[in-house]
Amino acid sequence: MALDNERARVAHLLRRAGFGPSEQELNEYTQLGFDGAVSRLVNYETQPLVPDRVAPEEVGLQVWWLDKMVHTARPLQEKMTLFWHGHLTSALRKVKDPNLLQAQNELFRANALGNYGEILRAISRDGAMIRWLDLQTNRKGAPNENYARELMELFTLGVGNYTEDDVDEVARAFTGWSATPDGQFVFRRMQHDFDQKTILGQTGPFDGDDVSDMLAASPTTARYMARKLFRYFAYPDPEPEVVGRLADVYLASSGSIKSVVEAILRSPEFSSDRAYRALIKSPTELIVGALRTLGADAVPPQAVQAMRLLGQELFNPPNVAGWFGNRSWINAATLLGRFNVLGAVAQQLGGPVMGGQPVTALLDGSTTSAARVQRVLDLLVDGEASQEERDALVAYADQAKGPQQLRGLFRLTMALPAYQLN
Amino acid sequence: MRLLRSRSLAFAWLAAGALAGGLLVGSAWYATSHNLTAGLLTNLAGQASAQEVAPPGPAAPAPTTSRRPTGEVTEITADPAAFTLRAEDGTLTTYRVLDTTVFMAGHDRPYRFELLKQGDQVVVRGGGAGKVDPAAAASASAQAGKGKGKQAQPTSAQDGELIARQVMVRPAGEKVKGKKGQAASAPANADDGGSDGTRQ
Repeated sequence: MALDNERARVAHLLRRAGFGPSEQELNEYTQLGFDGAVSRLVNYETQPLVPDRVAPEEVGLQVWWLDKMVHTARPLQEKMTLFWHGHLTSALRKVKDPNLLQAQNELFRANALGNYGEILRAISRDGAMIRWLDLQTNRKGAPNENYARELMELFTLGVGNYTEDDVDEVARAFTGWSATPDGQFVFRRMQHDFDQKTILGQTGPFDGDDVSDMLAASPTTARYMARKLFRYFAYPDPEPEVVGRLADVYLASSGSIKSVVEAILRSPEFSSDRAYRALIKSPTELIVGALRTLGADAVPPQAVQAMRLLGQELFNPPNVAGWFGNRSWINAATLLGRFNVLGAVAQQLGGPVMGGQPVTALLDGSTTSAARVQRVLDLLVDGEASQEERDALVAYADQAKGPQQLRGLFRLTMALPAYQLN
Repeated sequence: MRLLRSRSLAFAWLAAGALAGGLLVGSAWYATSHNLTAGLLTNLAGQASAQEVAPPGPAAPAPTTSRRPTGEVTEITADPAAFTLRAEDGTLTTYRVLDTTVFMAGHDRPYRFELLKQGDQVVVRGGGAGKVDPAAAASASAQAGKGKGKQAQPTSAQDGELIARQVMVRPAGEKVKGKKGQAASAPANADDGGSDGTRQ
């Protein structure tokens, strides 16, 4: 079936530009039509900002952020916050201060679809990033190249598009960029190298902001970011002409991430068969999506440990390159883990975590096994299943009489291959 | 039909397996969630007391100066920002809080001075005698530069005051969780030499 009707296209859109919709959300966005749905997503400031329902001081950053993702009325803003967290990474295990990671998270949220040059300027001043990539030890006469190298290799140009001399010179431009113990940016004038630098063929007394602007304006960065964003939202290995087209959007808009993301979502490639179910759900997408779809009222604290078991501990990406994503999410261990985690979510149906509504309410009055199966398939996988899968589910539903067995129907449906895909 | 039956059977097994696995995962969740602060305090307090009782002699580890004040908050003042903690031996010590003092309540749990209350258990790092905060001084000097960065710190401790630079908090009323005799997950400020911002 793929994306042959408006509702399926909108559901696809909400999985990629968000974490999957609740039924009510899908109805609302479908009424807008696909184009209207894209407009609402990218212009998220028109939607209400849901106040924090839990405090990070009480539940920790991970549950706090997961709760935001589950309850947000601005799913693309949170999805982009997650993108930036995996792109401009920092991790608690080195930063060792959750206050700084929270501030960085808020920075990403505030600039979710911002201008990339401004984002680079801001992240170069971010307390967590300064500590994560050792900027505070970068001094005139003894530069630390860690931030300079990653800025070009992972944040902008990509490997092979700069020289070791460029790394040296960019490091010099960022000398003296440091932070106070509580993470406030401070420019240490005495440690800054004010001399001339030659970076990517240009010479001048550049500082960090100059470098951020220079790198953000580079056509190489435009292609790098266009490709990375397309892979995040649509499918791996985009065609060169698609990347080129999106890079043009980036350059024409002076680095507007909003323009690039909107172009991706409205592109024919995004709604193509190649894109449909082409990505494997990350643990965040898997768990948040299940909680959203099934109407969760809260994020169970166990979700934090589940995320770690599945390979995505928020605020602790594995290294500076972030999570590899897609196929790396599933192996023999994590596949079973995913089934178990989703089973644990299904087990909560009817309980306070899931809003307390009876399992039967989710079935919307359907009484026959076939109708119940269709209802659960509609909720979870756009109504799609092979005949074999459908028959097996109906056979199970024939014997599922009580709430516990009905929870099993949700659990089995979420174990379908289609549910693992975004 | 046989295929269908075997599929149904497979689903039944899957359901049973998932149920058992789910219970396993669920148990793991419950056992490990929310014990980070507790583990941190237990670890640090343990380190401190171990250093106190370590016998002298060639086989004993070399004494260090890393012992960190641990105790219960008994008094808090807003101006100047400070708190007093009572150690296990009853000693009362007051620490000054600066704008740059970092509070946290777990490895992923931020905290603030405004939330501190009597009865909270805390571990204090950097409780050196009062002197001008070097970071604040550097920040102040930096203002003569390009006009970027933070404003000069408005406060520094008086001579002789103890300054808290980092405070780990276990809020009053929160229980220590985790298995007996087993350290909880690595605390935020453990000197674990953990991986840094480089690729592995």
